[in-house]
Amino acid sequence: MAQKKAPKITIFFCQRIDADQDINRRPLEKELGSKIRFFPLPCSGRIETLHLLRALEAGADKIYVVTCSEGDCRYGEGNIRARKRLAYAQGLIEEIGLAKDCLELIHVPAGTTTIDKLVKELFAREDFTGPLPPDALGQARHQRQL
Amino acid sequence: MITAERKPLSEIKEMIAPYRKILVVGCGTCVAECAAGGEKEVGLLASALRMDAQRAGRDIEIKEITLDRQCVYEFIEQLTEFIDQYDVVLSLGCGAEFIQTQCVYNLVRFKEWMEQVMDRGIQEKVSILGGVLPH
Repeated sequence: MAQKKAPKITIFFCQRIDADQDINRRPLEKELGSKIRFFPLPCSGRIETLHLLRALEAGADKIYVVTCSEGDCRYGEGNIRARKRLAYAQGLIEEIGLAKDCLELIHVPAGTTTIDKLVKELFAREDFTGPLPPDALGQARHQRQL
Repeated sequence: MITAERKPLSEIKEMIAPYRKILVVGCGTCVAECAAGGEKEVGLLASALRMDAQRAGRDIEIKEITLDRQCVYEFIEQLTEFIDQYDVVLSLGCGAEFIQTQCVYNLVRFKEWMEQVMDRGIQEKVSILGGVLPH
């Protein structure tokens, strides 16, 4: 009896990709409730490997880290650090048998989209591939093509 | 100089498999500098172990603590209050692979010292490298 479970998504994002993120994300948070968690960061370079692991531990099925394009970081190399820390976290979760695509880095050029539009796109993508069963093994997760 | 690397997770999992209450102890000096066993790495390892146990359906309890130095008795004393409440202590402090002596000038005395070492069986626990100096 495979019960369909809506994926829980956690999004860490650089506040600079959407100047009005605070207003834009509120209705979505109300609508989706526990299915989505937003973590606005002053710069994606603030992200720590531990944040990603804690989010997974707290029950997130998929974590996105949204940064500006490489070279566009206001603080120089914040998004490069975010990429490296994400890669490190991917190595760690692979060691415990989770698929590394639970964590994904997305580059969004600043000012081209709003956070609610982006999230709808991401949810559409998750719906397309279908949510994972909660007990999916690392391998099964891995075979899933995004 | 001390450099350190964390053991692979599979090895750590095997070591702690029989235990339920685990105390993960980091060290805030050399291993923290090497990003192998400081406060952050303690958090990461504990988080990974918790998730792994959860996935395997095992129930474990982990406490994380990072001492300033594991090689100084005064700091280790911070553990005495609660260490006996745990089944196992997982230390992320450095473990020496070998010891190097100071330069050996006097072979006869070095031999004497080595005999004392061997009396105590220290050479079984750690490799010993006699120090040499280019002349």
